[in-house]
Amino acid sequence: MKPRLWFSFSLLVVLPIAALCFLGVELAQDEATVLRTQYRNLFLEHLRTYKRGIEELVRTRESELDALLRGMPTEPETLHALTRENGYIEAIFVLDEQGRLVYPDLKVGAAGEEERRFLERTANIWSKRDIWFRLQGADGQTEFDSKAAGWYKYYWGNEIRTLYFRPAGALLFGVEFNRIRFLADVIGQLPDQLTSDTVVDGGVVVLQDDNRDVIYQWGPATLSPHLQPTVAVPLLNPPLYGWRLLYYAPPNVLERPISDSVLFSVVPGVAFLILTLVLLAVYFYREQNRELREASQRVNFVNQVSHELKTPLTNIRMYAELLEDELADTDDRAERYVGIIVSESQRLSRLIANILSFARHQREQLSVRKAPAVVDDVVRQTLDQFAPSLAAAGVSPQLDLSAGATVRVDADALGQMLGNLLSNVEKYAAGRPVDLMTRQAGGVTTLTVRDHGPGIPKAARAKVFEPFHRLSNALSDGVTGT
Amino acid sequence: MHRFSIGKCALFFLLAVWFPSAPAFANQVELSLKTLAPFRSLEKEQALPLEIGISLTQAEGGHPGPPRLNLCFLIDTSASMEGAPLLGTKVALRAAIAQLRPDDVVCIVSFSSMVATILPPVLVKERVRIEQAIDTLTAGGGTALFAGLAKGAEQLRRHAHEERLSHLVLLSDSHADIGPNSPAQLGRLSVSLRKSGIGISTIGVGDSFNAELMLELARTGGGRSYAAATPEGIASVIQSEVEALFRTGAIDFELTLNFGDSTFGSLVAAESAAAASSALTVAVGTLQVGKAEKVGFLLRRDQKHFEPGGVLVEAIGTFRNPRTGRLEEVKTMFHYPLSGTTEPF
Repeated sequence: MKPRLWFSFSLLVVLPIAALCFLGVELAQDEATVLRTQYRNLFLEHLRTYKRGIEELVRTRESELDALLRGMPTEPETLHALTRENGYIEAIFVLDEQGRLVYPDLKVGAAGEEERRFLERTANIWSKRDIWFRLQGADGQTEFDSKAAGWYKYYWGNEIRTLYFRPAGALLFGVEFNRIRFLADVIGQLPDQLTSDTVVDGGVVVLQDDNRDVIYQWGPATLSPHLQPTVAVPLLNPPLYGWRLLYYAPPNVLERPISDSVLFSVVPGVAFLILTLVLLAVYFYREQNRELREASQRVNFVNQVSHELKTPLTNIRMYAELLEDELADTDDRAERYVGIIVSESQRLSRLIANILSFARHQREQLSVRKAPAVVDDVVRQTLDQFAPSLAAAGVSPQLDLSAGATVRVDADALGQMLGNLLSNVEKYAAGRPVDLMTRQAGGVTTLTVRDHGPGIPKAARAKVFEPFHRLSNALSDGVTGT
Repeated sequence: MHRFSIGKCALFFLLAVWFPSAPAFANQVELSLKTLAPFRSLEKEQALPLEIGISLTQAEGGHPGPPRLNLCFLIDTSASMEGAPLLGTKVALRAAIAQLRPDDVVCIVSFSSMVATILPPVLVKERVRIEQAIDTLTAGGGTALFAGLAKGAEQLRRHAHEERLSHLVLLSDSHADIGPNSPAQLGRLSVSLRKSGIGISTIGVGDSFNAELMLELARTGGGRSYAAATPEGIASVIQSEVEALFRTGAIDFELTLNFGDSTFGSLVAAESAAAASSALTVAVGTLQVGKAEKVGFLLRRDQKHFEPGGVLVEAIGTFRNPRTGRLEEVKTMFHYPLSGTTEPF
């Protein structure tokens, strides 16, 4: 295949296909990004659903504690029974308005061992009245605020403990909330490995504590320690300080929808366009081949016609020249007419020779047949053939011939080329001289033909050697340009 | 409409007459008091070591039968249970199921790195379903004991009924490595669950289980702790636990001792006399039919003589009836002189 055809094929087919593939990949990547975002949002929403469930559980426990403490009598028996029977209350202290400990009563030694230990570990809270300061607010007011119930966090060893405090009348109740039990309730509320919903989709949901340790996890996959969470939702509210819900998607979950999308949306479109382009390319290739074949057939036809014309024309020329010799010095008028016949038949012979040369060139059969000859003789013979037409056009040849040595040259081809040039001179530089100069030096023979016509523009010089190229398409210009 | 309502009321009345409600508690809690040693005279006071005996006996005129159970088997299926321990566990579970009554409720929760409710609470009469669930037990992964306890408790709580004894039987052969795992933390969870009416018993398998944790869970959970040295031994201990649950007669038994004027008491285990008080409260735990519990204490007083016929100790026992879920109380007054004591206060 010719380079130009390759170039055209690349331009028309390969480049568009490459562009389509590139755009297809870009589109797929964009779609994949959108899908990943949608998946992340989906997982995030599910984690938020779990979070809302946990927050609802917190509110339920707060409401239960509020209901218990509202109007709670301070008799030791009642408070003792409360801690004994309520699974969320580990211990209670009660302070009066002055911050004095009302319960447990340490003075009479009525407090049990558990209550003593509770008072010891919370001494920094109730004895220094930290909670009071929180309740009093920034303006230092000493009035109780019935809405000022809330959570208080403290550390015992490495463990977070939580107090729920609530003013009730002139008293302040501080309840040590069983956080471990609450964590168990949270886990109880979350799905387990067998009841996990389908949105988990092969991933793992993890409940993580404030130390980033896994407390609970569910889902069909095994959690890899090197995997990064896909999405995370913090649980900042007490009593779960700093806990997090995480979703770990398996590596292939976010990739699978991408390949599906490419398969079902992008690939068919791109494939269709590529197929269309290929079909178009095949169509145009066949069309071009057909035109080339037809052109070749036309050239062959002209070639055959030219061949057929060549023989009778040669006879016409030969007998016209014989007749011209016979009529010499007898009848000027007849001689002139015969001269015209000779001249026109020579022109016709050159045209046919040019057509045949072009046809051979098209068939790549044009070859140079070198033989010993004298260049100056070839020039003179050609000039003799053109003498009548040049004289009619008012062109006077100026000869400066110095190539008298015999060289190996295709005399016919040289004569044909010189004839073409002289034909151009006849047509485009009429009424002006034409210079023909030959030189031989260093084994190189040079033939220079210079007319005094309008010349060839610089931009068109490279194209004058192309077949059928004409500088002007005006009908009045020459008609045999090659 | 009117006739129908009247008919409904009549039917309800007839049923109420024909099917009288079961006695609240047909077993009898008895409290007794005896001296452990002769009277001792200290520097400033007098002391007598005494012992309260608590026994649960079958009452005359009726046997209520064992309490109905709401039971959850919490099975460790971590990698260390692979092979013989898991096979032994399956055999033991089948034996326990065969031991239970058709109207008992049972569920099975397994825990490894994750937790799975392989059998939601069902009546024991659904034996085929239970068998199929037991067959699905497979081992592998870590030990999320805390999450397992949480899930097991949740299953029990969802199907808890005041007339059923809710109990969790934990079986494990290893140390927990996911979630809270200290005996203190899990003990607090166990205490809390106990308050919600869920007891815990533990079975340690092999020789690598966390004995301290298992003991603490059973102690705080009002249950029992067992050790099965071999997989073949699991069946016998799990059956012992089921029998113990059948014998449960009183839950969370708490004994309060109120002493008379100028008299104080202190527990034998107390470290100093400062713990002496006019009233003592002792958490005894679960009482089983036919098995007596004892609480020893020192009676202290600074007077030389008691008035004959005066109150020496008032013993009050409070507990939850496992058949009804209701709190009940038994009270006994002990007067001077005690039978069997010769020498005077």
